[in-house]
Amino acid sequence: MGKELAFKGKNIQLELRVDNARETFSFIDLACKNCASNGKDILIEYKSGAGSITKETIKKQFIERDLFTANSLEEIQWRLKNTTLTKDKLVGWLTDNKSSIEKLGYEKINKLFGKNFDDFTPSNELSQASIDYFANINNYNKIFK
Amino acid sequence: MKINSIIKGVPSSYKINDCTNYIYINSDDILKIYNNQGIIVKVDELNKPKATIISNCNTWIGNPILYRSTILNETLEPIKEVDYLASTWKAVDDFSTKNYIYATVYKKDSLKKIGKISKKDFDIEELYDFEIGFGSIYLVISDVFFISISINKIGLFNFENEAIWQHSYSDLLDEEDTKISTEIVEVSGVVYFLLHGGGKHECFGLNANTGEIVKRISNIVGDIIVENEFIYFLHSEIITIYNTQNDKIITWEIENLMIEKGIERLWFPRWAIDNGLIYFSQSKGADRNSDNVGARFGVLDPTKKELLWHDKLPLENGIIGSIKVNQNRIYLHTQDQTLFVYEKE
Repeated sequence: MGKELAFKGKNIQLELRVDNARETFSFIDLACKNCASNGKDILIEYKSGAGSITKETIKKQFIERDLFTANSLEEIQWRLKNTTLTKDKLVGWLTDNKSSIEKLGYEKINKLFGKNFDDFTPSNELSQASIDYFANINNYNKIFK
Repeated sequence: MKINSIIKGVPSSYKINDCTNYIYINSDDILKIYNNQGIIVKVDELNKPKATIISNCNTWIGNPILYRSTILNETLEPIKEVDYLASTWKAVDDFSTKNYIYATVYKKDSLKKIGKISKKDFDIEELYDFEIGFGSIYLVISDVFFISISINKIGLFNFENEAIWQHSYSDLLDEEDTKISTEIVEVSGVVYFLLHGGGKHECFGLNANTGEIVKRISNIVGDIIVENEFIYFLHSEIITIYNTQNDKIITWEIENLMIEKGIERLWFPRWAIDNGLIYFSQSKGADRNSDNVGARFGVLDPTKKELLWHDKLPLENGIIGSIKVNQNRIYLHTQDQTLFVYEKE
């Protein structure tokens, strides 16, 4: 068949994801072409410094942008350098932003977290499933490295 | 294409009745129904109603306080009341046969079950445990069998929960760490899906009855959508179309076309297929909080290998989360929970 895609780590290509001129606290945003194990792209967010991640960052960039955009958690990576983010901090900020998680909707939560929620699932179960997932350190470490 | 309507405050669970183009929106415990001109024709606030299943032009409106549902016909007249709530955790078509819907059913004072609901009279003919197969039904094949998947296996079960066949992904692909695609589809008695592992990306076709491998296609990536006998594999750079009837495969590298047309190489696209045309969105530059372009979207003709049309949404609406297409309409749902409805001029 046609073109061979650059699937293997050796051949990954990086390029600017977006014009990020309005962003002031991350130093660069990248996406990795065809780098996920399913041959799709990976969003990569680089964060550096103690004040680089706040509750608002988790709301706007992690929940409302990355979880909204990705179709699997494998398509999201945050690379951290000298930040103060921890699993417990993330869980706290996700809890503070429950309503943003709930707005993702049950279909997205099902896709990302392997659930079977439907129209009658209470909203707080949607957000709690997401929060519980990241309360597991192994899951947290898959994205926040 | 021209804008038909723009509706704000629409959660991603909105539904469309393909027979009428009416839109059903469950928002903050209020059900709003919009007609095909984007005008509200019904608002229901009593007992937190929710529109759930739409099938054969009928819509189930569930009342979770009373555990009852009213089925409305396409003119919104009630045609039956039933003593259950019904929904599905992904597309209704994945849980439907010609005569039945195998929905998640909630009855008062009972655990959720799978209900075999007649499309003719809306009665539940059988109830099954929700957790059957490897944990749940993924795709109903017939009124006897369904596909179930786990983290490492796919299998066919009957509704008595007996396994007919099963395969581990690792054994199929011969790679230790193997994952299955989100989409699993069935065409003419063959179950198709992608397996990814060890740098391999292969489409498998299994005889639904026996589990025998009847098709393997290497180097296939992307989201899977079926229309008639065609299976579309839709990736940011390459589109592959497999004709299951004549076994022909067409590939189309779209990256350069997208760059030439100013749309840029697609990042995290959403896709839909209608009448052989491919509808796509571009997420790059569309984040409402940090980007500066707006979500782009368009229509590709894979036969002519042309971009037929494209447009852009305002940046304030953000990334397009889903595309639905029917009857010459495009429905775009955005990051700020706005629904844009375009229609053919």
